[in-house]
Amino acid sequence: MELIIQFGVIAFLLLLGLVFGRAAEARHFRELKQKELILRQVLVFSEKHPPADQEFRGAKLVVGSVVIAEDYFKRIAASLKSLVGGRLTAYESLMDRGRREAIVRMKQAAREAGASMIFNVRIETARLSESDSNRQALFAAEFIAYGTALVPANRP
Amino acid sequence: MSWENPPVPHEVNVSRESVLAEFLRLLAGLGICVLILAAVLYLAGGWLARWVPFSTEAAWVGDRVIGLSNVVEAPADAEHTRILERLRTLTARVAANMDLPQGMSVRVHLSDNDVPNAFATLGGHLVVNRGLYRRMPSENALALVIAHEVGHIKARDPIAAVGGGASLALLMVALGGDARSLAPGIARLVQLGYSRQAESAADTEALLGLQRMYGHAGGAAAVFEVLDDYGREHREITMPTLLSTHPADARRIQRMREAAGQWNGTPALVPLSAEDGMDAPQ
Repeated sequence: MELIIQFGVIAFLLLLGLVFGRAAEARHFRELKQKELILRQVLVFSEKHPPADQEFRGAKLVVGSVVIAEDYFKRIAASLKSLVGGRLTAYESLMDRGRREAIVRMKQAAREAGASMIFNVRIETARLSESDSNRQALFAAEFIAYGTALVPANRP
Repeated sequence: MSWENPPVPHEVNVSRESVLAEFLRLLAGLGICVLILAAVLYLAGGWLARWVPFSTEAAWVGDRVIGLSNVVEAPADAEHTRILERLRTLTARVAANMDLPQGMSVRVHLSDNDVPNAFATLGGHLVVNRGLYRRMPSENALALVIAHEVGHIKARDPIAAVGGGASLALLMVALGGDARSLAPGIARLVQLGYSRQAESAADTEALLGLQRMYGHAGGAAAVFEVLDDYGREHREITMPTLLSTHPADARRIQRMREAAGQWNGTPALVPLSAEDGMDAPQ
């Protein structure tokens, strides 16, 4: 009986994670697509040096960061997959969302500063979790994108 | 010089394969692996347990009858004592005819349960329900049931079941279960019945014993007819172990009939007891 309750709880959590996690992910991807379209005018470069033939009025460090957590379904699916190895597709989409959201937020910061380009863009990821001894620790990752936003000189 | 950031095809980063489908596939694979492991552990545990000497098994259980806890303990009235006495005599006669290995002894107990059932458990204990005793048409039939259970004891089936159960419990603990909550389940295993082969072997032993005891195996099939009738009347969860055994009842009855062979009613079946009139089949 206890066993049935235990399995029931796990199944319920899995279902919860599956339904809400997938809905949240789908919504997030839709929003990302929109925001990226709107922010297309802000160009990002990994290049360290701005082009010599352009004049800039100012430079500013812009940062965009986001923390994204897994859902229960992703956790179980990933732990199951890690038994046999291979692509952790459950986390691939999570990491993708994180990186894109961080860039979007960085671009928003740049646009507010009146910049049209961001140079030397870097993305870093940090894992947020309790100590490794705690198996129940939640997996969440912080994504931070930063770069130097340049405000063009010809801008009013 | 002009630049642009072309739209990135983000979908390449994300697998098109459904995570759910993959999850279900992995879960099924894991389930199959665990089941195979469980089967191997159960068989290996059972095989190992049979190596435990019977004396060790008997010393381990002592006077406790494992599995009897959920069977109604009979009141010690006069009739109970009388039936138990008859069972003891009969069991001793059956055991004497079954070539038990040196040092193996069988102790019979009477339970007040009205379900026609009997089971053998650890340490050579054998439990007969009053419901079985009441319904048996002849002493021969009762002797067959006892011989069948003695056959299980002789084959060490109870300890094999417990050994297998213990290995399964080990697996459950390894998978994160609670060992203490599993213990009663293991004890109950001895009542759940045994494998097809074990039942068949016990039947063979029982028929041999019956043959030796009475000179014929007549009356044996009646046991299963009685159990079959009971099973048809009571479609409930508490199916008697004897009945729910795997070689389908029809096949077992057939086998019992064949074993009776040329027996044509002589020598006649021994009535359960003259003074047991009230216990006669209804």
